[in-house]
Amino acid sequence: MTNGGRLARRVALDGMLFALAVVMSVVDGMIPTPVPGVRLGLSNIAVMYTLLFVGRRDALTLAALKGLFAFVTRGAIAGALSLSGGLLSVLVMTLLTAVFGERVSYIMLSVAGALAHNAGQMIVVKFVYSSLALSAFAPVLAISGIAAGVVTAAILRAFLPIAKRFGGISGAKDFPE
Amino acid sequence: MSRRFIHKTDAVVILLAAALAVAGWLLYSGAPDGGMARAEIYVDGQLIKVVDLSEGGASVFAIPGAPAVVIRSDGGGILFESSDCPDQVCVHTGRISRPGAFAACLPNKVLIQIVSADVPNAYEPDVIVR
Repeated sequence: MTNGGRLARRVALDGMLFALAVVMSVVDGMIPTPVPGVRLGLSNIAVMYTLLFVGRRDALTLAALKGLFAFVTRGAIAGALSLSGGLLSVLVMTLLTAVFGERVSYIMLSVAGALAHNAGQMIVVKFVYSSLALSAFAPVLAISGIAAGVVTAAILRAFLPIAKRFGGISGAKDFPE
Repeated sequence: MSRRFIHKTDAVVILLAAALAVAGWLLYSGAPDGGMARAEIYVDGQLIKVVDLSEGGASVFAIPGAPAVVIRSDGGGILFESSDCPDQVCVHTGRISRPGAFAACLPNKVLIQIVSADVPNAYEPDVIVR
């Protein structure tokens, strides 16, 4: 394939994954959780898929696009929260795959990503409310991060054989099994 | 070799972390109720009002700088009664009463946090406007 063809393919694939992430985050907002403001982070499924089967650069692009989308649709603070959480999450997951390769499990990646996402958002919250004592909230974020990470890892893992049966998402690397 | 869904060590690490977090959460939520606490209300990082929760009686306040936000205290606890923000996370947080708890409206930059009465009160108004 020509260089231009490869680029076009990549842009199309990233755009599709971004659309998927946006739809997942809308669905995410409809799912009630025990703690107000805490969400499952379903769009992290698209980000993890991208990181593992498309590329690191594409996963980072996806996190940046998600932040931009939140900024445009929900304002500066929502954008900053999404961007900070998303980027830290992708960085931590990238680091884990870079160091441990295939030895790091889906669950571990997902839980670490979710916890990093929460931590990234708390950095922004701390900027907005410098006076806020977050220590009391940290355990709640840790519990919700672990729970969300387990759920999203399970959904991603369940989705992989289905993607495989349909020949995978065009342009993505080969799947296991 | 293909990526595993979970390793045995992962399960141990995750369960341990979850147990630690639950312990931390119990520690905080086991703190005494709002009998001996006050609520600090911040707008855009500025402390604008302190409500003594040990005094009984209910009151409702509008917040200068965020006119669409209504906060209600009911003797022992405090809550966001209403807000014009799209997500309504602040309103859904409900009543808070224990030291360490907080409710926040990010779009309006309004924050309520409960502080134990043992912590010195830093709030000294410059001017009282009546």
